[in-house]
Amino acid sequence: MNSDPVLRADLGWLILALFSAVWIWLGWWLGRRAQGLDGFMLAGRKVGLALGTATAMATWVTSNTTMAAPQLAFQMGIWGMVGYSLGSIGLILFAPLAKRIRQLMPQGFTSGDFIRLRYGKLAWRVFLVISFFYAFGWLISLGMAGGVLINALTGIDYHIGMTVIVAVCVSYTLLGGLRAVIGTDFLQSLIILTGIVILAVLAISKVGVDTMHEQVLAERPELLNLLFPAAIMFLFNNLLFGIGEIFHSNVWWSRAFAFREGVGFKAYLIAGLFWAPVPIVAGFLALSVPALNINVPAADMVGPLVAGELLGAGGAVLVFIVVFSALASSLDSLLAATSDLVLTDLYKGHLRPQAGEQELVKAARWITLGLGVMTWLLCWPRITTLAELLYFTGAFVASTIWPVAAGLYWRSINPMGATLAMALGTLVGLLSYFMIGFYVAALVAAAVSMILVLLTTWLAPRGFDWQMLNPTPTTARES
Amino acid sequence: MIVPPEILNLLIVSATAMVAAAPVILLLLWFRDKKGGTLW
Repeated sequence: MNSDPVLRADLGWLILALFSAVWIWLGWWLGRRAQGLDGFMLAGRKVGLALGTATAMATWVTSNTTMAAPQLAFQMGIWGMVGYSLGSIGLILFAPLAKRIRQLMPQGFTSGDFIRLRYGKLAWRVFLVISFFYAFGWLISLGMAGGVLINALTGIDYHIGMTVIVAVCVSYTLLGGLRAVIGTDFLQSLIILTGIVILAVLAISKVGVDTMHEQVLAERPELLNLLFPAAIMFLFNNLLFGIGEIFHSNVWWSRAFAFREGVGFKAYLIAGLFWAPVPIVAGFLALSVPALNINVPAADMVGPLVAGELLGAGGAVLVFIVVFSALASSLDSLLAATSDLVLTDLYKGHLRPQAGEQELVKAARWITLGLGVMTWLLCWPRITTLAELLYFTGAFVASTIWPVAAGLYWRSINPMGATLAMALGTLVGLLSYFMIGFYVAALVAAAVSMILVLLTTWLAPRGFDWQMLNPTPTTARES
Repeated sequence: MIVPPEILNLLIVSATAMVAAAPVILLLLWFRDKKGGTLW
């Protein structure tokens, strides 16, 4: 990078060491009472409203919110940050689904379980490809964000920063499973929300919204234009992308299984309402770039650079702590949920169908460690910017919206139609990503998927017994 | 169609106020769950 770091490297190391120790100790302490597979994977299935709301909110506030929101505001202006905040609709719409999932599958473990039992093995395998591609895309974007943040703020090498963040999250997830993840998420959510508010208040008082508006209007008026065409496409694309991410990902399904009965609906609804204003508050900092005349060497560094410029060393420390918490709260959740998916759907589902509980508990820890190592390897070459990577996966996830949502409520969905919807939706979405732009991939994938689900169900409807989603343990793998 | 400064101001200030309320509500929920034995 060609700008000076805003924090001294030794101060950066001190914060990293302090927070790393806290998260690892807390993960061990919270997870020490987790017993058996349910305890490790699903926190005993008794998570209450406070922890449930915080984990849903904190997991969705990622480095992509705290770093890509300013990036998108910098590139797309007001629609960039407002469009990003529509990601909350996914959480809000998942609220009734979480309730339905808990009712239909009280003993379920993963989103893969649902697809396998609902649509059969072909759909399950297509879904797993999509899920793993997305999970790795997200894991890489989080790991990369860690390295980028630490480098931008302290000058510590990207590879070292990325390694520390991945290692810390793997350590405490390994020690405490989902209990550790949810417990740390609560503290992390308090830190993130408080930190963002402090930064926003200081930014408003130092630059002022009127000055931001005046300078943006003079230098980049398109950022304030409500009819900015690419940005409007982005808005709808982001809405569908967020819904697709949440509806299909095991991160959200595992929480639906882990929450105490009656908690899922309220937790996701409140979390969605809490989350909606976060990208606006994190994103508007980028609108001060023209007023401050900051040199932005890479768009994904705009957030930390503006905070450092505006608020000096204190602001840089604060943004560092906020984004470190945001990264950890998402990376741990994704590691735990992807580990569950590998364990249940690949290890037990494909390799070791007869594996007992003890073997699975042991395998869960090895899988978490393996995922951490794989993430670290994939993050090593900094392959793309955060938003580009994020939106590449949009085509994959948006194609699952209809098969998941309709499959939970609509008895007559055609299983082959659902399979085709996921496969062809992804394919056409990817084509549009390359031929038109990143801002239409999810939009096209969701449209193709919807048409296929509706058309095949209209032409060849099938029946389904909802009881099939709650099989006894002995018959669970026979369907 | 340019967003006027008043609307931008309203958007930013109201969003900041909403984010500020969230940790307070989370802590209240935590105390309620802790008291009712429904935290975990």
